Amino acid sequence: MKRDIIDVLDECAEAIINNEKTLEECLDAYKEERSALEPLLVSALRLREAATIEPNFERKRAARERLLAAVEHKAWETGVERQNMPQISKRSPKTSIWSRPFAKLGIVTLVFAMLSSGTIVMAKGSLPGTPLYPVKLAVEKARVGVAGSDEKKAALYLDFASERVDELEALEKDNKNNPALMRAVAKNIEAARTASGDSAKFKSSMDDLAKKNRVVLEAVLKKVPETAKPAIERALSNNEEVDADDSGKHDVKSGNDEKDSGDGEKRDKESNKRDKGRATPKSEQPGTKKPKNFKGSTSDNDDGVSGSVQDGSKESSQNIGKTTTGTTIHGKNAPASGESSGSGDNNGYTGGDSDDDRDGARTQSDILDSSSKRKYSCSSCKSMRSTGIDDKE
Amino acid sequence: MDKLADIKELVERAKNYDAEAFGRIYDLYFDKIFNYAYYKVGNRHEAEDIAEQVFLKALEKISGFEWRGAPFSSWLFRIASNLVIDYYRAGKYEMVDIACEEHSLYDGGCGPEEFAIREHDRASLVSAIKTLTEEQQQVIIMRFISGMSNEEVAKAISKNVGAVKALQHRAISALGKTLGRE
Repeated sequence: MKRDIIDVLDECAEAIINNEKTLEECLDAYKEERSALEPLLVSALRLREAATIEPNFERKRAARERLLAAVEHKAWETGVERQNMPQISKRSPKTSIWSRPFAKLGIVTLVFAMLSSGTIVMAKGSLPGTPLYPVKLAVEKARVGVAGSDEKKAALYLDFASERVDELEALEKDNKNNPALMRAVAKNIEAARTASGDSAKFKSSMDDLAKKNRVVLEAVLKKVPETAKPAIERALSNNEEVDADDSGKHDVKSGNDEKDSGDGEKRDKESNKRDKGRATPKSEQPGTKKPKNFKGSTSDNDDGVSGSVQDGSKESSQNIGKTTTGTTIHGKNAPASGESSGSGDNNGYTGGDSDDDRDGARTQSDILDSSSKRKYSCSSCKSMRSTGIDDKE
Repeated sequence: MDKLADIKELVERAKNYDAEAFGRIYDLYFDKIFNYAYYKVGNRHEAEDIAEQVFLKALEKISGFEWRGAPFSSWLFRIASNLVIDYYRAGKYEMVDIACEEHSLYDGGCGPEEFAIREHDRASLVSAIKTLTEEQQQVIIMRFISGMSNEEVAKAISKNVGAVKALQHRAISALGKTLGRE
């Protein structure tokens, strides 16, 4: 019985595609259809032989790296990465207990009750892996939950970033490569930036953080994903500029001292007064009292600064116009657009259908592109130290 | 572990944003997607960009991917197909002489004469494919260039297997006539 040429062609095409049969073997197998089949199989074979080309190796490899960086960023952004830190809640934002008002109140009450028991005091110095560390993180989360204003939240996130840096330093002997903790540093910095709206106060606080923890932050920078680097690079570049500005200022000041030695004592007093408002490490300014800043590295004092900071605030007002560029990495308060679109309309096959889908892909690549190209500047931070951060709880 | 189970496991891991799983999926499908895009747009650079976009889009959408009897590759090719459509809609494309482009970008490991002949054949093929209908192009490229099965193609273009076979027959007939006229 003569078979349908469509089926015969398909059978032979399948065999040719899989290199199971040659053209002649196919024709021999279907002698009755040979005259109709031969020109079709010749075309199919030509198609198959001429078809496959290799993509450029370097470009393929580079695209793979970008994809993996995007995967890592996505994991971080969506909280999957945090599952590596058992201390941190795995609850999704949608089901977060913080979205329920009464539960929020209950947790706050519980936190205050725990305060009186001293557990929190004990937990404050705990490190990852210790029994009280989850309590410490829960308290941090509670503090953000009741912080109220974005400004206070930003201060808290920076505080927590500083805390993670301290933990990294403490763990350094046993666990130098704690990627989850390093990412937590970057994530808190980004969350602070998002909550603060990238304000001058945020930049000022980042300056403090970078000044205190430059070495650790540089180490963190090498180990976090590409997409997590901008926040830390921003902090370090801010700090570099501040250092340069500060050294320039000292040069001018010393020049004045040489010229007007008679007023030296008066200026020293003014200088000391200004220095009290700065977060300059003790080692950099011998002889000056170690200043308080928004997050004291050695004390639990959260009072921040007062009085002398006013001078710094006034200085800073002249430089506020110079701002940093925006960033595309979103903190946990601002999920990326791709995240929301990714879980919405897609149900498998409808995946790439809409224009929105395309936008999603562009967003992701834009993140990578802009992350790698971004340059930062911060001229306002030099004199904005500590202002507003004393709002922190 | 069979191939399907292996891919299912990879996809499940990829849904949890496992970078290694995504890397393996990329290695498995990038060349196929690239070839598909190349024969659709006729430009290597654009094809590479589209193939990259396919995986970035897959990353964005994978949390919503569900197994509904279709192979994972069909889902990727569907994304690729939509990106190619967007590419032409955007109107930013330019026709590139593929043979010339290949000379500048790719050393195929053969002599210049043989290379030129091969690339001429490929350019003719691309031109011939472009004379086919959109559906015929899809079927031919997915079947013979990307090496997909009838079932995979059927899922990717939302047709049944019988329709894919018929499209394949018509496409090869038309292709033979076009190439035979050269």
